[in-house]
Amino acid sequence: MEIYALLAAAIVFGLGALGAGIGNGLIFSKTVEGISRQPELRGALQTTAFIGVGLVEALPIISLVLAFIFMAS
Amino acid sequence: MDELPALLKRVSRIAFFFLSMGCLGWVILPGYKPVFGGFLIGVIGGLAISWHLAWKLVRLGDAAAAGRKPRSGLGFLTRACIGLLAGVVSVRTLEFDLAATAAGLIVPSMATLLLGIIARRRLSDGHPTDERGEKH
Repeated sequence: MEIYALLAAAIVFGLGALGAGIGNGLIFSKTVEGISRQPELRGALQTTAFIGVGLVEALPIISLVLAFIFMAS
Repeated sequence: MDELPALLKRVSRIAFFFLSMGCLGWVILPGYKPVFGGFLIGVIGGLAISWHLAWKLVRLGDAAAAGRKPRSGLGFLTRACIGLLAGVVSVRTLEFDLAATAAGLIVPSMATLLLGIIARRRLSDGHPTDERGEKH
């Protein structure tokens, strides 16, 4: 039973972090690119990035909490 | 121009509203104390995550606008640890409900999404067409 809990924790956080890593990388690369091209649009680009990253990161943070609870159970 | 502090202020206001609702539920419904307690801790953790993300974004924007390479990362590990801390304190230390904590953690994110959608809609209502006359 313990090995299954560890496996579940690894899968839930691994897949969550994989998706968040790809999503964060895309969002921040485009944000930095946009700010470098047009610094006067910094406020709008930061706000859009904040909305996107807030959504992308909600899932892996919850999956991390779940993973540690699986491991402890 | 400076929209991020205004958005963060509105997100904080919504999170504080949910915190007050959680406190009311804690007092009015004593049988559901583990649920409301976990929700309160989750909202506090989610609010800390939002503030940290906004701080990191401002630093990244400053560095990109100045043409410098950002020295530090985006701080995902810090935010993940804040979420983990909220979960462990809620479930292990205070023995609250895990699902309520997870629900509280995503409250600021959902508030950010809703406020962003509303702001975009207002912006497109104010400027229904672009310079070529096309509707967005």
